[in-house]
Amino acid sequence: MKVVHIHDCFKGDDQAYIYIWLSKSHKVVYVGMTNGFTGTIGRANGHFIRKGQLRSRFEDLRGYSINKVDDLVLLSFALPKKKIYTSVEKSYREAIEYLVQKKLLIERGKLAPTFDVISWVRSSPRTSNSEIVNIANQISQLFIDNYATL
Amino acid sequence: MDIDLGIDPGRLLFGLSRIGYTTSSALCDIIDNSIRAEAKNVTIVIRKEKEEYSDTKKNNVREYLIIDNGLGMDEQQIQDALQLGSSDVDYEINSLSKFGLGLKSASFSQGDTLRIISSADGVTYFKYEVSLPKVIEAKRYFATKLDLNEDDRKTIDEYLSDSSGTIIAIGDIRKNNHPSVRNTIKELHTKAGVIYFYYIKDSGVSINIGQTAIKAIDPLFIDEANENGNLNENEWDGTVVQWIEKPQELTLDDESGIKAIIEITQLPYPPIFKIKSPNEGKDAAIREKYLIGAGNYGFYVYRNKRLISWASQLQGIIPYDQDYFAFRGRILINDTADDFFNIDVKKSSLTLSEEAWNTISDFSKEAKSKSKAAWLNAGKVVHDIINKNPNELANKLVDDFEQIDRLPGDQNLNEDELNNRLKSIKEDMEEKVIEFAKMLNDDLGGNIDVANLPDTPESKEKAIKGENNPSLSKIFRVSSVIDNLLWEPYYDTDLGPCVRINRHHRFARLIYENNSPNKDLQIIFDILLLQLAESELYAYKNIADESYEKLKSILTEYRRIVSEFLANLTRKLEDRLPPNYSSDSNI
Repeated sequence: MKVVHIHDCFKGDDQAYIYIWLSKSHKVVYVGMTNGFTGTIGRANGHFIRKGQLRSRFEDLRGYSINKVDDLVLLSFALPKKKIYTSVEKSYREAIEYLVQKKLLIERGKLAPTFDVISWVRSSPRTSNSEIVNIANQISQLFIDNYATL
Repeated sequence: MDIDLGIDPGRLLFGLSRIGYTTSSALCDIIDNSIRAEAKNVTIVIRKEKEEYSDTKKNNVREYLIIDNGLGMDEQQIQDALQLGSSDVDYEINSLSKFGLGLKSASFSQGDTLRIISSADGVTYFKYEVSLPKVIEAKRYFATKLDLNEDDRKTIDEYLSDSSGTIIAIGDIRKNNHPSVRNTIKELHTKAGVIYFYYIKDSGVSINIGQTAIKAIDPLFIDEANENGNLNENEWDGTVVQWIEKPQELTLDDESGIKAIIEITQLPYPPIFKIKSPNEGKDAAIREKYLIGAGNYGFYVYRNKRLISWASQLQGIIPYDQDYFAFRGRILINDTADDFFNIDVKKSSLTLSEEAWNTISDFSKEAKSKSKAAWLNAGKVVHDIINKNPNELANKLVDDFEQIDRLPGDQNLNEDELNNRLKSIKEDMEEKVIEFAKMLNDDLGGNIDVANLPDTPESKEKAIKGENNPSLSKIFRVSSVIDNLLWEPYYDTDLGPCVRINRHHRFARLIYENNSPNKDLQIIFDILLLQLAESELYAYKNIADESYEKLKSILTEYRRIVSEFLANLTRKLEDRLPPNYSSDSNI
């Protein structure tokens, strides 16, 4: 029996997330963002369908199917409940997503086991915004602080 | 059973000499040996074929001498150095050498004769010569031991008196489109200045061409970036060097922990100097000083503090696009990273491993985007100075325009209700100004908690307009709008009805960035949004059937929906919308 604790990360009405998929045994990290109605769990479907981004990026970079991975963890970070984060216009979310990926790229050498960041990086004109920088730093730090126990 | 296949050393040497050295890169490869031999003084002497001809004449070099006061070599060491694929036993950690081929391939790329004169003790000198034509003819790789002649002794006296050191002479220079002395000297000053930047600056190495010392050139000009701070791509006018990424250590390989240090600066935008200082030729001087040009943007990769790749695009990480001309990156590695930066024999190009490529590419995305945005912004500054900014033009066009007071059929509000509404609007707008100031502060990277109304007219103007600019009276393109909507109305008794347009909204970027050359479109878009904002303010002041609060709620929701629909439409149809639209699009 496999028990998956999804907490409330299926709730995406009026709630946006940054999320991180992690496999320690295959040493990959994938960072994404969503404002979808079904939260990060709902977004997962799109990543694992036949041409899903996470599936494709994993196979491109590792050379074998993600179906071989059996220790995937999904980490969900709820963004503040503000329209700038939940709107269809996604420049704020993209900026945080980018900064988290960048921080993990920098810090990965200090973590054990280390990993490749395999998500697709998009930059945004809002990466200098101090609120965004603070949120991205908090998310990255949470990830780093808890990495050993994940 | 093994069969000896033999080797033709003449053809091998000839082939090695044709792998693409320029004169300056060949000379620098030999300077590497001098630095490896702990030389503090390296002098390049260029001897002309015909002294009476000027330095601008091509095919007039007889001989290059590279003279250093390093450790020098005894007889056996000279013979070892002349071997093809000389042993790497003596290559210390951090050596600049790699294949044991540099001296021979670099020398024979320029001339047919290589001579080494060297002394390990400053007393006894040995001289050996390898002649490419003789090797080819004999089909045997060999060197000839020679006695010093008068000219050799003169050179030793002049440059090496009583000290150990080495003279490498490349003779019988090929007269086949060989560069002029002037061009070689000019290129050497630039190339060697950049290649040995760290050695000249930090290690006390002096490299000279004749009597003239080569100055260290930092291709990132980080001293200037330190003075000018971090790049704000939306504000940069192109006149100064700024940081895009301060030095950051990156792990290139998670298995072996191979690391690199990466740093990126933005160099000046030369055309701005043409506008700001007309007829002074400053733009050309700036191009020359900062090496702004097609072959000079990208990443400068230093291995053991010696440049191994000049302005590399790193296999597409930096696109071939002049919008990146001001992008200067530096990657510092040591020889442990060699397998991730496959370096060629002439140390002028490299091929990244897939993992290193991915890491550097991902890391650089924001920097690239900032550099390009800053370059385009500086272009816009120039364009605006020449042509007047379309936003200012739109403001000018509507500056003294007054919209209809009351539309036919609309009824007057009674005086009390009108006063109540004006009071509510005023209070709302004052709250908004606090929010504007906070958003602007955040956008500029400030961490101060802004909780009050800006306390001076200038700071209030900046909060509302996003800048202090008296030419903007009604239409303000700002970096943030409340709730990230496309536009919002603003009103006060001094400015009257105005609009704040979110220039980072996807639809606004389509108009202002993707269609930036289309000034008319921008003016019409600005005016359209002003009218939408003015209509909203009109409704607050004139529609009697609904309360102010209800009107505000409906119209704000309407703006939200329009903003979201336009963001979605732009994202989904981006490839089909102008300027990408074409008559053969699938429509």
